[in-house]
Amino acid sequence: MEKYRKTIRKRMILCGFLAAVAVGLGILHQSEFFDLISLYTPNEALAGFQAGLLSGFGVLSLLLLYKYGKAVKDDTKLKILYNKEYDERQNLIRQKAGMPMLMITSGIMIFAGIIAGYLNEIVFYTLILAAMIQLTLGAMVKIYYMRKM
Amino acid sequence: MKTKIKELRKQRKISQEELALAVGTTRQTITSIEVGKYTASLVLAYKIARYFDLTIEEVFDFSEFNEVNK
Repeated sequence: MEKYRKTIRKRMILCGFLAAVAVGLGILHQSEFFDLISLYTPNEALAGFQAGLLSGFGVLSLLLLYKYGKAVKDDTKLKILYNKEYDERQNLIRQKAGMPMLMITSGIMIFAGIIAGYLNEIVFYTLILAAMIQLTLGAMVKIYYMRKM
Repeated sequence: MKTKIKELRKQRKISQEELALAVGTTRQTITSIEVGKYTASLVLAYKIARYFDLTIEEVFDFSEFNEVNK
């Protein structure tokens, strides 16, 4: 369990880093930095969507940080977290839903979409929409197998 | 697959959470095994049987697999 505790500590560092990146990008977004380097002036809706996604990433990272922080201090919570992560039924459901590759590719697409949004609007919408459809399908398959198994 | 997990738990007054924590799984998986939606792996079946100090055959009902072609 000590090895897993170390893994959780590493994840906490990663979550902290991601939250800092989200906050940093949010600050740059609010300032006129991206307006200076972008090839066109992004519209209000696009800028709002990007800010929302960044905030979402930041909040999610902070929530995970809080969850991991509580688990690291409490052995029972750490064991429950470990069991949940390595549970054979959960892993089978995740595999059937295409995880973790689906999450990784969707994450990359969303992040690339946010960056691309500062350069080209069509690329931004295409990447975000594709990622959303991919995630929705994955979630539907997961719910189906959670009910079936 | 039918199992005796639920009755064994009731006899020993153990909750699904307690059993799940002891055998390294989740409460949802224990529920699924109890209602027959999910068939436990050999390792998990062994851990559950060991928890109750019984053999796998005493906890899990293998009667539906009795007809084996040799």
